[in-house]
Amino acid sequence: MLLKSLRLHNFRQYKGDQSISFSCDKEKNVTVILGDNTFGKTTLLQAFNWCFYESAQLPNSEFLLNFDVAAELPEGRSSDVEVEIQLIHSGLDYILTRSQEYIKKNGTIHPLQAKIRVSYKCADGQTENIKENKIENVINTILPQDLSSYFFFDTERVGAISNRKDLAESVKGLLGLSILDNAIKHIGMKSIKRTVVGQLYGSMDMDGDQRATEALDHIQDAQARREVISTQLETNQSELNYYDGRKEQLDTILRENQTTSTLQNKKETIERQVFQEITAQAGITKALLADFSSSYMHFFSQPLLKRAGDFLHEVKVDDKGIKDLTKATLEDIVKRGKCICGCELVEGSEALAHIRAEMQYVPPESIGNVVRHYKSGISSFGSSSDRVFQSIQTRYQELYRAKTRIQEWNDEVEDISDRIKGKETMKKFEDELVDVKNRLKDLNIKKERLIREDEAKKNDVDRYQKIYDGLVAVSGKNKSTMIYIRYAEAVSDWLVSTYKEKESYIRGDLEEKVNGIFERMYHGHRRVAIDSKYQVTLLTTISDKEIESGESEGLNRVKNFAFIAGLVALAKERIVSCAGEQEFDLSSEPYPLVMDAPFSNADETHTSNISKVLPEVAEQVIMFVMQKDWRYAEPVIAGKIGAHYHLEKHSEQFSELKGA
Amino acid sequence: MFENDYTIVGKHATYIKFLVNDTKLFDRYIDVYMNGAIFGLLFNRVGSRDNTSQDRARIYADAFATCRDDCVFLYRLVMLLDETAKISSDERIDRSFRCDADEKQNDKLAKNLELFNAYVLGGIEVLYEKLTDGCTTQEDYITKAYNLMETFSEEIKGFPYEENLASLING
Repeated sequence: MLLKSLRLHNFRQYKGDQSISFSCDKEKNVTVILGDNTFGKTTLLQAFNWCFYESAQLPNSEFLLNFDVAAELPEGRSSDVEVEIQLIHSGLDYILTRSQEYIKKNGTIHPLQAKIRVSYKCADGQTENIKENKIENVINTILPQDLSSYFFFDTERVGAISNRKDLAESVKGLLGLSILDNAIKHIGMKSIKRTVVGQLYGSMDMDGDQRATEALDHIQDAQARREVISTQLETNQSELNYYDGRKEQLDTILRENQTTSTLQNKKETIERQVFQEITAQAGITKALLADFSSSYMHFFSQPLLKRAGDFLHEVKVDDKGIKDLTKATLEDIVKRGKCICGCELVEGSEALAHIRAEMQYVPPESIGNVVRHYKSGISSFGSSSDRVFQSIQTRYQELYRAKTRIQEWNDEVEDISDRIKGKETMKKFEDELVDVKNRLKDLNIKKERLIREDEAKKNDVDRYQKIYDGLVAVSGKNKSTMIYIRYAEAVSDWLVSTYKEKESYIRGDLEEKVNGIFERMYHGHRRVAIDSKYQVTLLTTISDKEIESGESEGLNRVKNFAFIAGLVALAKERIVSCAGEQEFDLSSEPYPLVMDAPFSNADETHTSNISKVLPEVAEQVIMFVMQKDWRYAEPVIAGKIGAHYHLEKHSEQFSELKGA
Repeated sequence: MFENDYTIVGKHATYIKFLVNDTKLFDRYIDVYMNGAIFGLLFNRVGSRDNTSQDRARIYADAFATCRDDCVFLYRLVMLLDETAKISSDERIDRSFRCDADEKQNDKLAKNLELFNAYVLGGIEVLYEKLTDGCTTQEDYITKAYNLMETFSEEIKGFPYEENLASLING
């Protein structure tokens, strides 16, 4: 930070608008404002504090409005106090403006809440305002408040800075380590989400990889299945080709041999008919044989029966007996000895002989009934002959016709056989054709099924490929992110190691610097020690032992000068980090020293030393000096003066800054 | 009469078996036996017991029992029509109807049965000759049997049997 200008408006005794432009020249880097006591030197110094931190170590510091202005302020009206600092920090022009409105009510003037505006000029010349909530942070980055009392050095109130406050962080910040620290914190770690690494981890799609793996599995499975299907389809196609070819061959054979086929069929039909006829014939034969067996005798007996009938008719055996007369009746008559006609029946008589002859023709001696019965037997024995013969005739004729038919059919079969002789039986081909057609049907069904399945698998592949591609993009992003994270972590590691390295040296370096400066300013045998809180103590060596020595006001002032000068000198040096052979400049910010009455209570030598050293170690020196002290300082510092002002005190309420 | 087994021997046994088993024109031996009686009469042919072979064909009493009426009928027919014995009409009636009923005439009955069986054997010979000559298949036997019937039928319808039958059959 270098201070470019300070503008005051109604700030305490600086009535109206007054301003100072500080020298930013590298050689003539000293700005001197001369003024005696009560002229307003301390007020100028506190104007910086107020502008930066809204804090002013002034009596009655809650009322900053110029008394003249306040006295003239009409009831109900207000007036502003304003301090504006223009500065350069990290190569950027900043303007800090703090203002506070004072309003007069009921004869009393009340201050309102002070306001701060910070803006900076961009590289393109545009002015950007810093958001209100960032302002405090920005100011502390430019100049930590803890160290403000060193930079805006009120020599006469030196006690205020030896408050044993821990200055470690502020010193580190000032020396550029805060930048490292901020960078380290900014890069951060996985567990802190708002950090770079945390955000990078957060942006990674951890589920994506799992899903991508799954999608890839699906793709690979589907592809594997497609390959199997492809092989099956090839086999299927070659089978289809074979059977298509075979079907064509069979169609040709059957077409060319259609006649043969027809004849073949006809032959088979006839053969079936022959078989049926033979079966029928067997039935007829059986019946015919049964007829023969049962009726042959009766049929052939016909002429014999006729002869027997004729003979019996001729002899009339059956007519000789008297109807119902029996041998027993006649024997009874013979036994009685007298016929029914009255004739005596005695042995030797004619009448008895007649009766005895008659006995042969009556039952039981009579055969008349037997013969009669036989006669009826004769007529019945051959009675069915005609019918039986007709039946046999019919059966025989049927048998003959069947035989003829069978013969004709057999002839035809023989004829057909002759015609198709030598030609292969078409049945075989017809059967094969049916088989081939069935196989083709099955193969086509299988083919369609495989094609459908392949389509489905292809869709699966496409679908999962899209998913996979999407996820792989994510995965690719993840990969990139992982690389970024590794970079970030590497940078962080590098910064951490640099920080630790620098941190361990910084106190020693500072101490060395401060002692170097102290020795140049102080002409005694003391040395400065800086503790872990970056507090400075003076040590005196007594009998080879360093003990904390008492401090006079003047010595204390020199010590503080040495400290702040050392700090500024160290800040001016670059913090360089090495990464391999490359060096990186992490910080090289210059700082001003603004000092109120630096030489008061200092003797001539000290004043001379201080005047010599300060402009050498600091980039910019702004001093508010009393005329009396200036005598000793001026010869030493004259060549470094870049801007020269003096204060004119018009009244207690009005001082004026005048350029030399 | 016709109450016991009857055994046919020799060639007649062979014929009767052949006619039943090979030609199948007759179911049983007894069918051939009864037809033999008819054909013996028709052709006036009597046969005598043949002992030239050991072949035997037995007709069991059971078979006679079932065909007893027919057998008796045929016996009387033979007795009525046989003209080999020169006897009167009354005597012919007597042997046809009385011998088998009168135990006193058992001797006569035995002779009558012998005559009857002689006709049977003669008839079997005729049947064998008429129905198997020149035949090798069953169809041949059937044709032979049928033709014999057909010729015989025409004969008895168109011509007086006594005058033409024998010659027609033989022709």
